[in-house]
Amino acid sequence: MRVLVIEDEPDLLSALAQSLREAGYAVDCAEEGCEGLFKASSGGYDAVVLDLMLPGLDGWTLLRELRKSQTVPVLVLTARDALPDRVRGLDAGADDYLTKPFQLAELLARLRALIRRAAGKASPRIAMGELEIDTAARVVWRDGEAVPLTPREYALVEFLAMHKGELVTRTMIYDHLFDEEDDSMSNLVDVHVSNVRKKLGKDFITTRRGEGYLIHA
Amino acid sequence: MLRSIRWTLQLWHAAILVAALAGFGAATYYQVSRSRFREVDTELMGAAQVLVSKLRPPPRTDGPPPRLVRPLGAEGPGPRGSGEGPQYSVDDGRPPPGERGRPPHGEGPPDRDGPLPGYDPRLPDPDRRPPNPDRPRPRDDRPPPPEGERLGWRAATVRDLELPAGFVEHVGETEGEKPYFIVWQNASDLMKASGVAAAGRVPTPVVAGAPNNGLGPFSILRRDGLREVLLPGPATMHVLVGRSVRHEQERLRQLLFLLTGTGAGVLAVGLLGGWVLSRRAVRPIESITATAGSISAANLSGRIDPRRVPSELEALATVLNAAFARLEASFDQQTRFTADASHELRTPLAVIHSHAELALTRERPAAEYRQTIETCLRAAGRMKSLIESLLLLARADSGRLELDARPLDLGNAAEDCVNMLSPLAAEKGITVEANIAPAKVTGDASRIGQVATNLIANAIRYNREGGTVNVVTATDGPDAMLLVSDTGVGISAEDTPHVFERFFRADKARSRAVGGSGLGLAICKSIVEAHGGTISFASEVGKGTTFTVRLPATR
Repeated sequence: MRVLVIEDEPDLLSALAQSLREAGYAVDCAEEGCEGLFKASSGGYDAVVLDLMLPGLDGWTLLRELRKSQTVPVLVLTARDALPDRVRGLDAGADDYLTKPFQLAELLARLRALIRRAAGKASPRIAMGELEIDTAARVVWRDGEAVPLTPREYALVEFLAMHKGELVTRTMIYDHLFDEEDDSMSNLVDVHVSNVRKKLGKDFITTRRGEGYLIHA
Repeated sequence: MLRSIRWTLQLWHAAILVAALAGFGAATYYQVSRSRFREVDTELMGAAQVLVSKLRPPPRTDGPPPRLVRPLGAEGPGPRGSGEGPQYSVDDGRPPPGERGRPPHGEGPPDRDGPLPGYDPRLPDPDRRPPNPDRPRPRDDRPPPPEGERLGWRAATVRDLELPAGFVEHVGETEGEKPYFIVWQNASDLMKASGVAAAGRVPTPVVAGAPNNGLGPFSILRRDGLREVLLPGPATMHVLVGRSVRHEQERLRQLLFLLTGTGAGVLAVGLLGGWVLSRRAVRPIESITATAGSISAANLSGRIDPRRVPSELEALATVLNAAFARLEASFDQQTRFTADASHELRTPLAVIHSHAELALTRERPAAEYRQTIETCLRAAGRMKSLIESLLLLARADSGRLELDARPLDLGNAAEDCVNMLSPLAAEKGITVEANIAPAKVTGDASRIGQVATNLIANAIRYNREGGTVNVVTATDGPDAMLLVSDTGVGISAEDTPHVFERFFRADKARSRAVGGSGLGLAICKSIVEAHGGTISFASEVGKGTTFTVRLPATR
């Protein structure tokens, strides 16, 4: 899952980015409104964390512009907690609202809920045959036992599970698993797919040669 | 109660109503009673005159003085022409004499109602002129009777004396109310009485002293329930005609009750109406009070509609509305300030919170902990300076900004700041020119230094690349001046009114890393004003801005 964080306070941005990365997200950052809008409009994000008081382009304008092209879930993060501000933010197209200072745990939970909802899933658990994916605990269960996966491997399984029954291209996987600071090669995706197959079974992921991957519903 | 407008109005209303009603009632009662008794008196007087004229001795022929001859109807305002009451004519056709009688002592007050209609005191009474009681009569053609015959005539006349029949029929309903008369002579020598007087129920009044002394033409006697007219008759005779006035008194009592009742009714209706009116009068005040009461700190947007209050209260409504508007503006400003202040404090707090939380999620290398602590320290430092700024503004607002005032040179202070900030300017390729002349002031050196630092740092921060900052100090008349000019973008007309507002940033494109908190100029203004000085600026968009600080100079 890839998240864009738009926040003008460098110290806060660094804390957000680090905690999101440690939670298994690929994280891109923007410190200024115009840059944030540019990155968000390019697509490929599973969620956007947005501060409203931004230099360059304020958060409300950014949201309105973004909503012209993107449906990506947006979590607004701001120090302005007055009711009119919250209403204005949500009405401008935000999906959720969190006021500073906030608990990182809450921010992460809200992001998971936003991403889950955007994928059309209400429950945090996704069942696939003998496998069950707990997106809150970031654990894959098989017959009541946790399968040991690296964060990247888990992210791959979760991404495919969120799109189960759909063809997922290698570029899509790359875009959602790696952020702009990763300079790894795209064949790393194949390595992760192979590792997941070893742990979860050969038939878990179907390869469509030249097109991408697929897990059956 | 007396502090209530309604009750005060009501009391005045009641007092005026009671006075008006009492005056009207008294006047009515007096008028009715007076006219009724005058009527009675006129009737009695007419009857008495008839009796007196009957008692006069028959006329003699010894030549009346021509000057006394007076044809009836040729005497101006004669007795018959001006009367209101019934007139009883004498059957011999002679005019009724106007006689001057003497009021009896102790028998009722002399009449103050003036002459009665039908009685003319100017007419001389030939019979009453002492010392000649038997003066000739006007228009007397008959031969005079002999003396004995005259006395016998008088006795017979007295014996046959009766009240005029019309009068007796006209007055009174029961026997007790019918009129009566008494004729007597020589003070108490009863000659004849009729009606209730004949039954002895009316005592003969005592007329002391000599009658006919010319002091008064007649007397009105008011005895218990009776009204009587006493006329002096011929010789030493007295004629009294009276009647009971119980009926009239009863009618007057009824009138009094009626007037009192009506007055009480009118008073009640008036007071009720007054109460309703006064309620209507104070209702707009109550409505203003209700509106004003509903305007609280939570909701200051309510206003009194001046078009819906009476014109007398419109000024009050307008004044209140203006006060509410000022209050609302001040509250809005306060709310905005609080929101801005909390926003500025929340951001560093969020930094500390998120970094500390992140650091604790797992074991980390020492370098990461160190970095987290450094970040937290930085954020705490920002909070500290912000809180100090807010505190300074709050103290200045309440007039409790403590100044360590000593003589100092504004020039030196500015120079120190220039030296301190030169490295920052050099970093951005900005030249700082200082044109320092001594300018003595009395003030708090650290606060004045804060003003100079804020202004010069702003001039560097908001300058263009490779621009110039010009710092000038001078003495201008009574003022010491500090001028700080930059060659930056200038301040737009739109932003001009907000420059000294708290948390106002002209250039919102600046990120927090570059820009300050937005309190710098507000703090400068507070400090300068606490020193009794002024701060102003002149700006031209695209060319630059000059801030001017003026402080009272000391010599």
